[in-house]
Amino acid sequence: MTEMVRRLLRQKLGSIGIVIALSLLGLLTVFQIIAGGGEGTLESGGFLALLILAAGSVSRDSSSGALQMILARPIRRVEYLYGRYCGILIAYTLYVVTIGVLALVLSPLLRSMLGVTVALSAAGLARGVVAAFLSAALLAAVLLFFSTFLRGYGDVLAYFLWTLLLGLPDALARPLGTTWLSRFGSLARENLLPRVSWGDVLRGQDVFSGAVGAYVLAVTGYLALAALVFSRREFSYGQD
Amino acid sequence: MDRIEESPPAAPETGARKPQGSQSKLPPILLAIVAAAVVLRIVTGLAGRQKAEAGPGLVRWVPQEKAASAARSDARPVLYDFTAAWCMPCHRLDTEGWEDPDIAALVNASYEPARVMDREREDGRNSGPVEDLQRRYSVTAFPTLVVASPDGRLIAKYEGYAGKERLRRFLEEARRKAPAS
Repeated sequence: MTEMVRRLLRQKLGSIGIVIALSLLGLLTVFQIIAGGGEGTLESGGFLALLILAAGSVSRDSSSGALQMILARPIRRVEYLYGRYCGILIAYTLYVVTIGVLALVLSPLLRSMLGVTVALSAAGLARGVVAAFLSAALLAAVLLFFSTFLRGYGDVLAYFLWTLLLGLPDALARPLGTTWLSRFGSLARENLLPRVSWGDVLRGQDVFSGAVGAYVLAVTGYLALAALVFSRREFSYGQD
Repeated sequence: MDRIEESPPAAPETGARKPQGSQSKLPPILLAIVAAAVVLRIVTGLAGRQKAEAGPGLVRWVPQEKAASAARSDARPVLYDFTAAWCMPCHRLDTEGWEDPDIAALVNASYEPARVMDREREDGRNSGPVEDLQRRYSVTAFPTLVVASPDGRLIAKYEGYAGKERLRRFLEEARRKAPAS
C-alpha cells in the first residue's frame, strides 16, 4: 500500500501543471484566510485542490495501462485502491497544512498591508486543517468510488451530477407541494452526502450527532462500494 | 503492446481479463467496519431524535399538542416558541437564551413551554396544528415568543431575539400580566 501512496504522490505532485494550479489556489486561500475568512476558509478553499488531487485517481491508471501492470504483481486490488485513497488524503493534508503554516507566518506582514485587525489563532487554524481533512475524506471517497467504473475525469462530473440529483427532490417538492418528496430528498442528502459542522464538533459540540454518524457511514459505504466494484471489474488492455 | 497474462488467461475476443480470485478477494474486516458504521449511524440517529424531541437548553419543553391541556390542569400560561430550523436568531435563542439557568428556571416555574417548529421552507407547508397556532397569534417572523392563557387568549408577544436581558424582561413582564392562578 505504501508503494501505491508513493506512486500517487509522484503522479500528482510530479506534474508541473498540478503544482502550479495548487500553488495559485493555495496562495489565494492564504490571502482569504488572512483577510478575515478565518478557519472555515481552509475547508472551502481546499475543495478545488482536492478535486485536482483526486480526479481520475483510478481511471487514469486504468486507461494508461499502468493498472494492468500493477495488478500483474501479487497485490490485492483493495490494497491498490485504498493506497490511492490514502495517497490523495496525504497529498491534501500536506497542502492544507502548508497553507495553514503560510497563513500563520505571513499573517503579521499581510494584516498591516490589508488593514485587517483580527489576528489569526494557531488553534483556530489547526481546527480548520482537521475540518478540511475530514470533509476531504468524504469527497475523496465519493470520487474514488466513481473513478472505479468511470473513464477519465468522469468521476468529477459524476460527483457534480450526484449533488444535483440529490438536490432534485427538494427542488421538485416545492412547486408540486409534496411533503414526502422533500422528506425523501432531505433523507437522501443527509445520508449520502452529509454535511457536518466540523467547527462545532471539534469544539466538543454535537460530537455524536446524527450528521457525524451519517458521515462515518457514508465514508465507509463509498469506500466499501468502491472496493466491491473494483474487485469485480474486468480490465481491458489499453482500450479505455 | 505488452500483454500481461494472468490465470485464467484473458479471453482473446474481448481483450479483457477476469479478476483473479485471491487478488480480488475483499478483506472480511471491511464488512465488520461497514457493520460498525451502520450501528453508529443508528445509535446517533436515535440519540439525535431524542435530543430534538427534548428541545434545546435547560427548559423542560412539553409537546405542542399537550401544552394547552397541561396549562389548563396546572393553571399556568403557555409559552409558545415559534421557531424554524433555518432561522439563525432562533439558534441564538436556543443556545444562549434557553441554555441560561436563570431563564430556564423562570420558564420552568412559570410557564408550560412548547416549541412550534415551522417547516414551510423545507416541506412546502406546515401541519394543521402549526398553521392554526401561527394564524391565531399572527406569527409572521421567527423567533416569536407568545404567552397565552390556558384558554388560548394572547397575553404577550415578543418577536426576534435581542439578547438574554431583553428575553428575561419579557418573560417577567408576561408572568405579571398573566391572570393569577
